[in-house]
Amino acid sequence: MSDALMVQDLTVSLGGREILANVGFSLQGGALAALVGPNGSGKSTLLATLAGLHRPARGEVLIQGLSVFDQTQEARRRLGYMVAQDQLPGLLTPRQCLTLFAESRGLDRIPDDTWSQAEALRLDQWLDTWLSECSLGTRQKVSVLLALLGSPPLILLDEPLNGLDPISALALKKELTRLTSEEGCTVLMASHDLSSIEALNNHIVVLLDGRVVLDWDEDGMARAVGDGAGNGDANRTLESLVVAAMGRVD
Amino acid sequence: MNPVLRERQLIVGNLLSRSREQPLVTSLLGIFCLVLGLLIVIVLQQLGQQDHTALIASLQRWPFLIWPTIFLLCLAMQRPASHREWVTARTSWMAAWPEMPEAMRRWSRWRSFGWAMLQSMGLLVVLAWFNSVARGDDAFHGSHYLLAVLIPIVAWGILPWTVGRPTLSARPVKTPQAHASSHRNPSPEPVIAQWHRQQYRSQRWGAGTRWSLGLLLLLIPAGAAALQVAVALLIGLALVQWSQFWSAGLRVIVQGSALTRALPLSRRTFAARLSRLPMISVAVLLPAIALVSAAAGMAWAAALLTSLVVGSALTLYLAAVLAWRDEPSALKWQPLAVLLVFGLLSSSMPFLSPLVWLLLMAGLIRLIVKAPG
Repeated sequence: MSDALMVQDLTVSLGGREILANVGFSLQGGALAALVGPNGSGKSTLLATLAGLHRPARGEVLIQGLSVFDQTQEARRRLGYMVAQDQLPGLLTPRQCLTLFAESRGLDRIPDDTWSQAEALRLDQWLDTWLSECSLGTRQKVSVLLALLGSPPLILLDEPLNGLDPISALALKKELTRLTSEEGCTVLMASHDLSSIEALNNHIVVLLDGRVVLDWDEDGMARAVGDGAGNGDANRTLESLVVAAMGRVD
Repeated sequence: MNPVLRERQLIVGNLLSRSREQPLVTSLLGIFCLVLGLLIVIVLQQLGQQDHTALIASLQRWPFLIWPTIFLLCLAMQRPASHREWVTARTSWMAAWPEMPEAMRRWSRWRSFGWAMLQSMGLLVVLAWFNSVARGDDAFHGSHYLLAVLIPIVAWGILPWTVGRPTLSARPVKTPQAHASSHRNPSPEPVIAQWHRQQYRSQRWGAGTRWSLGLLLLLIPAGAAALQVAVALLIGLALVQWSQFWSAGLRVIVQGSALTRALPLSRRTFAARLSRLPMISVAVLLPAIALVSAAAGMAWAAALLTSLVVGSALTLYLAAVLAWRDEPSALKWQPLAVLLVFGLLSSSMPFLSPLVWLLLMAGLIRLIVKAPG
């Protein structure tokens, strides 16, 4: 069976500058992966490239075996991509956005799961308000819901917890866990919240200056932390290991 | 249905329902549009009364050259919008739609064609109307209508459509010069002047500029000598570039004011510094207008008067932009409204126009200095 996401030797240049260099990793179905890296390390560009929005100079991205660049529409139908909240159309309401997305995904109505998610994120009272009149957090929730709509096999989220209140953030984490464990979705989320990675994610990819410097699945994460404990380094947490990896100098 | 079209439909529906909820605002806006439309018709009527023999003769002489040129220029004017749509398809919320960016490309292509067609047809209708109301012009053949429709369709069909596909830059790429100056400002040129220059350079060859220059060709009289054509193009080029410099100055005023709103600097002094370059550009323009008008055969007194009228209007506009510089939404209408009042009062009572100018300017200066700081 093919991986949910396979990234091979991906090199992307924008404006004559190399943003990603030889990026490669893969995610199994059901993975809830964190994409970590300092500001400007190429996380958002990587997510946009995985969604087929940038054509790479070299490399390939396969979603369930389909090439994002050669079989774009088929691959993108298996993909939920979170857009930045400030890019949402101010003159539409969240309900209208969700309706348009549902139509775009070939659904005749907004799925029940989406309504449940909206309720869990406490978005239901804002569903008929223009997005220009919604708060940053509310728009962030809409962005997340649009990516989750229809439970696509691969979900790409760019810092989904930013701007969310603690209750909504917790509800979103629970929902992401449910989607991966029960529905078999694969989630790749860019995040700066290192403290919650160990509890939430079962795969971690660290990006530094456009290169993957660390790629651990669940076993790798457990091994790395366990080795530290075995060696008598009780302070060796996943967070400290990731920070150490991010602090590397080329 | 194309998802972009569907999105636009929903937005228009939302705006209509909001306008129904606010009948007073909608009525005022409607009245304003009506007045504006009437004014445009009056101006066109005035223009139509003038002699357009040369213009119509040019059109009749080179229809196969002029109509495709007009259409292509109109199409070129759509290019910035197509570029924005292409970027939108890749960076906005639409980027998440599976149909993107193909759906946006299809939408952009048809929209550009529709607008370019509408613009060239609009121009044709205006010219035909001029011809019908002008005295002593030759007949404006019905075949022009046919050409104006057929030529764009053929041109659009055979054009290899490559509009859009610009390279996206994820982050600004610094030039070596920018690297060197990122922590200090080694240039003796004041920052505002540098800003103004950069703004002007970024917009001086925009699609609008190219379109305006192309339309200048229409004004060349049939059978004109090469020297006349060259002079007309040179003057046109200078005028278009001047207007770009002027509008760059106005943009810097608005952006500079927004950027420095929270800074502890004297806002009045800052406003004066912001207005320096636009004022200099007005001062350069006025003698040029007087000279060109006199060279075109106008009496010196009339030429000076013309430059004075233009100067009055420009200074009023500049003052209005400064007065409402902290309210970008007001800038869409207020400066135009000031000019409208000045124009209407001055044309109905020409002898009182200096007084009208003084009163309006006094009011605007009061608003400028009222700004906090």
